[in-house]
Amino acid sequence: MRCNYACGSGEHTMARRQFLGTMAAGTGAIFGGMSMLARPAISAELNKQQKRVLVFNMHGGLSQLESWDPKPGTPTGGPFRAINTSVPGTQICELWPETAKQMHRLAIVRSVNTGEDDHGKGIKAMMTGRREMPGVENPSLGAVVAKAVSNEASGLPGHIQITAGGGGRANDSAYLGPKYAGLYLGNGQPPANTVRPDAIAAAADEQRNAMRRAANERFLSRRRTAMTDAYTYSYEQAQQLMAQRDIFDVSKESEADQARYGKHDLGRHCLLARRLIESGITYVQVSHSNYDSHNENFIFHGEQIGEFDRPFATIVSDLADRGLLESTLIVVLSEFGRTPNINHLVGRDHWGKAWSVLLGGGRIVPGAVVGKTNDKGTEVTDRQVDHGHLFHTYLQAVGVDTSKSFDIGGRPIPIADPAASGIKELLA
Amino acid sequence: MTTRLPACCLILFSFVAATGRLAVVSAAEPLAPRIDQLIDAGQVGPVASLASDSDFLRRVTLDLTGDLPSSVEARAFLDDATPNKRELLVDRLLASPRYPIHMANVFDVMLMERRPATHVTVIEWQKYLQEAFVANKSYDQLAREILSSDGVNPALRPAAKFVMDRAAEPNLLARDTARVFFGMDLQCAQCHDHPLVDHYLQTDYHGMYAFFQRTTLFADAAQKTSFLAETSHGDASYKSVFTGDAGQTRPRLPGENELDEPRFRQGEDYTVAPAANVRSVPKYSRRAKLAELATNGTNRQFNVNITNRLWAQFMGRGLVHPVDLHHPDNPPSHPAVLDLITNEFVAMKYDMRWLVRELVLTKTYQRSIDLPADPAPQLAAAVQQTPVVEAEHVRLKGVADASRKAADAVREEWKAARKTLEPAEAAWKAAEAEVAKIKKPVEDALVALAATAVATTAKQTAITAVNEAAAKTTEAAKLLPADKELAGAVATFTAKQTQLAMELAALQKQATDQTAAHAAAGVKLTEGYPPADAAYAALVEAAKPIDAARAKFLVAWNQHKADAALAGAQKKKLEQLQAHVALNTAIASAAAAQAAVEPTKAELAAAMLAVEQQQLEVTKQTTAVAEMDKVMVEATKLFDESKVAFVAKQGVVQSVVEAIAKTDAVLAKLPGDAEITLVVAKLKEKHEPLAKEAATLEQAMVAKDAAAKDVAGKLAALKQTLVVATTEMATRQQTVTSKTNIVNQAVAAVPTTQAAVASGRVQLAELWTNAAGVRVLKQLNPEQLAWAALQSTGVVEPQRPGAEAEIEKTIPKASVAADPALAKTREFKVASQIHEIHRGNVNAFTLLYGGSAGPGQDDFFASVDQALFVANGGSVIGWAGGGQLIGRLMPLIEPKAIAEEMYLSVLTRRPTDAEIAETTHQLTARAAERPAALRDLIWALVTSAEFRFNH
Repeated sequence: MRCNYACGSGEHTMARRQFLGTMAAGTGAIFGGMSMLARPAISAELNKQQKRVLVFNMHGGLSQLESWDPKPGTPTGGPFRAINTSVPGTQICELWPETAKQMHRLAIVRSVNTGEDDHGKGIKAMMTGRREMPGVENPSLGAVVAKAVSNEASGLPGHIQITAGGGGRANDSAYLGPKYAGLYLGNGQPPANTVRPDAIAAAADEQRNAMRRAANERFLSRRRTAMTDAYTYSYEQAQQLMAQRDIFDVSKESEADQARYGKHDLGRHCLLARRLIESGITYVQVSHSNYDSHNENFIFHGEQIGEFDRPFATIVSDLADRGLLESTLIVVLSEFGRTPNINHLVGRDHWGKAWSVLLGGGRIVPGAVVGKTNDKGTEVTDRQVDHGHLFHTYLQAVGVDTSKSFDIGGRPIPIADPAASGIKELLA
Repeated sequence: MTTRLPACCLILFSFVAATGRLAVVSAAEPLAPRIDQLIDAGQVGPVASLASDSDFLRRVTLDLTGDLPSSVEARAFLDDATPNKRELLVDRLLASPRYPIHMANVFDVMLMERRPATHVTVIEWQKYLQEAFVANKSYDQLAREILSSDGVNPALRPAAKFVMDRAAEPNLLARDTARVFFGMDLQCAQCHDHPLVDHYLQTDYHGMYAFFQRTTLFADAAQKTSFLAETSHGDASYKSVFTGDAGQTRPRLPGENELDEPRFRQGEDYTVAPAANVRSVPKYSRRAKLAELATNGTNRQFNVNITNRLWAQFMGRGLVHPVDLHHPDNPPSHPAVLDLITNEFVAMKYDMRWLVRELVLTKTYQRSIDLPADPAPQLAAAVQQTPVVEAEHVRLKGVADASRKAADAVREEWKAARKTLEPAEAAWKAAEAEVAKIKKPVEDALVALAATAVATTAKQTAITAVNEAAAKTTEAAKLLPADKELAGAVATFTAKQTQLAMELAALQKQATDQTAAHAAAGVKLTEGYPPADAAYAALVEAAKPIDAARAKFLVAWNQHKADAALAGAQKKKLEQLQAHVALNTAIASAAAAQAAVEPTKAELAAAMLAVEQQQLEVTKQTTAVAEMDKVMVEATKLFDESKVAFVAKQGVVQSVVEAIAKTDAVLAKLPGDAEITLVVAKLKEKHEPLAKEAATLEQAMVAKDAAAKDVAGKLAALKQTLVVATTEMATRQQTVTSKTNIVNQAVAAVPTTQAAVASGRVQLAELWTNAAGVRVLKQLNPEQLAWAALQSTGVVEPQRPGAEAEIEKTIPKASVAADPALAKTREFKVASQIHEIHRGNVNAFTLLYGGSAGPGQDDFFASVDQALFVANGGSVIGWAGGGQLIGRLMPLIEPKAIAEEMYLSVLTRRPTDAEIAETTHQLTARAAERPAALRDLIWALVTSAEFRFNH
């Protein structure tokens, strides 16, 4: 009794083999230590084909009413007005004047119902596209994108998380393995071990690597497999990364740009995100804390969005100007929205039942608005979707066939939850 | 029926052997050669030669002790001429204190899959496992302890890690137990029959789930630690999200029937009944039952799982691969080998050290990683065998399909029968609910009694205190008889004593009443039992047909699985043969393509020669035409000249004729005029020779004309010949063009066909490797890699004195001289101590080279993080530059000696001449910075692929 949704294809293994096959053909280049990516023409070409994803995680739960689904003049609407945007007929909350000018490049889903009001479970569902099940670990969006979309030949990490906290590797790639786990650039610091130690002079480094390659050539003449290729190649990738270490250094951006993004942490993080996206990093996630406004929701959101609006609008506009928006999906998400009901502390609480997600770029239809909530924003009234649909949509927006499976050590594991599907009307 | 005989025999044989009845017979004979025999017999492709001594030494040391031999050990082994030195080495390694330490790591990763420690620390757990391998604890015993421990007995508490550090979560435990202990990844069968594996049913999953469903974590507030508790009720129910098929299942081992379980009445079902802050212990524990039944020797899936996993651990790949996907469509590469080692392992009472020893002594284990040369005979044989095997596969597939149909039909019967159970089940549940109601007062009475007891104790304590105070006060009053206050106090105490005595009596009365109430409630409960007992009996009776139907299904299903396994194995063989045939065809095509090139080239050469020849002909003909042209010009000229002469003469003759005519006319008018007559005569005299001359000239002219015409004819003929020759030339040039194309095509076909051969060879290399004909190149796991790096650079041994000193405190060296067992213990303790000292260093590797927590720990991946760590991190550079190895190299002068010590230490082999030359070159070039040069030489070897893989 085979069910028809699960795909048993070994396409991903094939792709990997093809990749390794390509490498085999270019052995000289690899063993020579001269990467194909070091050649600017090829790099530019790859860069153009490369799809990317840029996610803003509005940590704590952004209020949909103070953002993408305002309900001014209703009991639940709060004090803020709705303003017109660059899309005729689409209004958003007045806290977003700069983003309002970019709405013709973005789209809104106003009918998200994840039914999840717990921070941990909510973000897990949003980030993995699946509801948490005991004992089952699923890879996060960043790991999935890094695995499904990244250029395997690149030495750059495929999955980067920019937070205010510390650095290191996350444990969020489950069965996809640590290679795709999020690399935390704690407050914009470059990854560990990317500088040659003082004890090793540049010439000595070249020599020891030449010896390493010579030793490899001798051994691989005995037996060569996909594993040995991947292993020897990882050292060449490491060298590429070291050569491109500057991409993590936001101070290399112009004064003017630093001023445009703002010199506060979020501004620097957004500019760093632009720099990484431009450098060909596949998945970049910026976290902005904290929207968990159980009390004083409106002051809270006023301050947070006041900081977020400008750098966010700037990166949208910059990516569009650079022709990168067609290949880059942008998502603004949270673990959930906030209650329409305003509590006695003038706060809004956790609310997974009817909230919004903003997205744009890639295959996303610019200016689209999908789904509706009722007048008070307490129920989804049209085109209800959940984390599963969104997860499919994100991936499809960057060209991933989400009906396919990953091949994990001979086992096919569906890329996205086969029970859900993409939001078709959002995808061009 | 005859077609099914092999399957039946197989099952019977396995069963007999699995129960241990063949033990005595088989154990006498070493297993390794029997494995080799079976492998050889089933081999489709060629086999690699045996690995070199250095490859074997490195391989078996990594596999048995998780580290590398020292250069001293390597030299000694390589130079040893003893014929059975490999066997002696294996025995030395198995006796090494590193063997239990390494095996504990292997089993830790296999069982816990790098999950974070929550209730049992890694150190406690590894110590437990290490001791198991020191004592060579049998696998069944180990598994029994792990599955059944509740964490209470301190000796077995670490064993509870498997369950406790999975938070006793029954779904997770069902999945991981099925995978780790039974080799079946049932994860996708939780919500429906497995979508991709036909033979994993939802009932398989829930049968396993039922074993764990009643187990929970119990946090003991007093002891500030957790244990496992279990309840006596709760059943596993399932509903397919695809088909809606629903039901309940009791616990079930893979391939077996649902358990028949004892029924205990409510109130009689616990050794320790559940209550607040009480760890409940049921009289019948499902988890203990799992431990007992899985390990009693008869569950085939439990047995093949571990032998296959041990095989995979040492051979680099399971006979069934992946090791947690045992099912008929993924048959073992060598079914007979899996049967053999499993049966023998069970017969040997799950003796792991014995099996490990036999495995590493097989030729299969000792095969080289080097691919054998082209196996022409095997390829040719494959062409012969394929049709036969294909036909057999079709037949076996037919058998399997038929038994599948039969099983499906029986399954439908079982499902239908299940529905009939519903009324009896409902009746029994209702009856049990009644009992629960009646049981409530019993429980309430117990709670009340307990409360009364507490109150009584408190009261008695108070009475004692008051009595003491009263005695003291009375004593004081006696001493101070006049003190009124004291007298008052005595009276107060006396009154208090009376009051308290009454209160205590009331409490005692209350207790008596409550005891009576409890007894009465107990009587009521006893009276309530019979209806539930009867309902249960009715249920059991009603369930009989269903049990029978289920049993019938299971028989049919197991039959189908056996049939499908045979078909699957045959399919595997067919695919192997087909790959060989494909390579054979590809080689033939490549040869044909190669052979085709020369003849086409010859044809082209011939065509080009023909063009050259024709060129000569054309040239010749062109010359002839040109020459004839000249002749023609001459002949025409002669004709023209003769014509001119003739015409001129003709004109003179004509003039004379005309003059005669005119003179004649004059004479006619002057007849007889003499002068005129003379003129006429003279003219006529002149005319005759002139006419003759003219005639001669005319003849000459006609002759010249004829001659010219003749030449013209010849010229025309020559021109025609030239046209023919030119046309022929064009044709021949055309031929050259087409032959050139053919040559180009033939040349182009060669690399395409050669590529097909190359990819066929790669495919076959994988196939031979998977079929155990060629050694698998396997990665060093993170711990092996760390230890290999530590050991080869020489940073392990410096820790020995410290470790020795630590152990000296508990087991002094002097005390073990006369006690070999204690000496061994001491040796192990020291090794264990060194192991702990390096735990931090090793953890740095496991973080980078180990998989994320959960399945897939054997998957290989290479990341930039790893390479950066090795290239720029302090560890490896520091060890290379500061370990004992560089210390040994520094005083050496001869580059050859340096290279030898370095290669033996790091790669367990001697260097080649080229490698010695490279070392010499490096040391000469960097003579001024010798320590750095040596450090980098070591680094380059440690980071090489040869080091990273076990070959």
